[in-house]
Amino acid sequence: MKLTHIVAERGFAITGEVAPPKGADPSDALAEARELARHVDAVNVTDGQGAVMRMAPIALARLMIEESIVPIWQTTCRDRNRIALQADLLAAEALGVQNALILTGDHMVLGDHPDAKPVFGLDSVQLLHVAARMRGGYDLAGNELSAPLHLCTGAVVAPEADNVELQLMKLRKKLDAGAQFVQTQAVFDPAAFARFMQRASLKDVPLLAGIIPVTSPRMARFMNARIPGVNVPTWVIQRLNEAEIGDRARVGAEIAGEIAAAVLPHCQGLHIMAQGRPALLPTILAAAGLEGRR
Amino acid sequence: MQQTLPLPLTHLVGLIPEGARVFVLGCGDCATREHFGGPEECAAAAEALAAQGISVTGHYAPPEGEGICDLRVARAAVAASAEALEQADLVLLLSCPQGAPAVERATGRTVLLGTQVVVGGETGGGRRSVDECSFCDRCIARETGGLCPHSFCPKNLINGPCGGSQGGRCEVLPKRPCVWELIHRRLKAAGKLSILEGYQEPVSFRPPGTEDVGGTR
Repeated sequence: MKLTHIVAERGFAITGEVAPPKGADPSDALAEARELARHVDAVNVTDGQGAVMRMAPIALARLMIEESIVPIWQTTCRDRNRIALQADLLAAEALGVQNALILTGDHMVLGDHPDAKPVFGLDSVQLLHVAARMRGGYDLAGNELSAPLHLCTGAVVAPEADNVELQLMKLRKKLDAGAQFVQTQAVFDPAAFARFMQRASLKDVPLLAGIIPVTSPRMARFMNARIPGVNVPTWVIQRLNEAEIGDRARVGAEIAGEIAAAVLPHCQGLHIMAQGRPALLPTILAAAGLEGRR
Repeated sequence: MQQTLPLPLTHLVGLIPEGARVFVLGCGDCATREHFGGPEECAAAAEALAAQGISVTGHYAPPEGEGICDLRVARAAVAASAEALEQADLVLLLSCPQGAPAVERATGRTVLLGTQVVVGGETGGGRRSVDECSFCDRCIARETGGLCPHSFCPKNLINGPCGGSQGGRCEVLPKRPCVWELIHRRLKAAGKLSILEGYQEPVSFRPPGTEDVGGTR
């Protein structure tokens, strides 16, 4: 199922996210995807998130399809040149993937193989262009494909990044390049998000707001220091500080749900990044007023 | 050296913001040898621009053999034309793209590159800095205020920044400012932000001299 169809049918969509394992056994990641899928429409499978070497997301995406879980296959420009990137788009479609989220990818120096050769031969805007061209039946070099691509391709944006003006400029380029849906980095400021959405002029391209449950003050500080484009505000940290240590995960999920409820009127859905804690989803969705709406 | 050609005059005029005062600067290395940025070309460009109604405060080319990409040469050029440079809003640089960073640093002015690279390669004098020129098939720095995002951004992003800068600093090289922040600031000040809206095609990594090789088998 394409994400655009889900939004068209119901007016909004909710997605989750799972990271492939650091190892050859996919069963734990698959179990996590299964648990997420009870609450969401589709599940993102990340591609070497944070530039940490993990199982290629196409494997987990295919295993999810075999269990009727809709994957959003993430693919980054960091590790592969234009030949490999196009080859993988074709491969993903052949394996039944219908949604691809296209990112530039975190730089290798931020991950666990900092000595790896950075590729970045295409950027996310260019790869979106290439995918649109492949949907039209041609590859980047202008050669005809024996069968066109049908993948629904999505783009990302960081509404709370340092320089919103430049983020908006790049988002416009991604839309012009044929992005069919948009997912955002974590949102913590609904008022700023509403302003961002007004300026983004997405027309009929659905946007899913990124939601991260912050479950401890330490996690908040870590995110502020290390996760680009994320700003956990002090009121969140304060509420987590005031909560009993054993109750902080629940409080963090509730805060995430409150933010979700505030941003949802301005967009077409939520992309919930539960950071490996799928059990938080019912609390987040209940606090967002979305329990049982799926 | 790089095979570099001067831009057509009409193109140059289009790059210069309304009312801006321009200083024309050349290079004593390959630009002088290959006649796209020596003393004569600088004088000719200054004259041609003035004839188009553009205010030109002066022109200068370093002595033959001295590449403007060398910061010492760029500083000497500033000393030699201090008065005319002082009056200028921007520097029109007739050198290969490698000259731009040194000239920017030495002059503190916006640098507009008045040339285009046809084929990239090593420059003379061994002053090549990978950081400052990627030897692309075409020069993007001309559209980004003289700052090359392909070379300065660790992800080679030419269509806009990633979401990773913190406090205007690059997340990969935190000691350095995000080049997109600098580009944004510079073009905003020049009222030329709309230049950034254009889509940048992928850069070619084809080795020079292989144009006749290969093809689909």
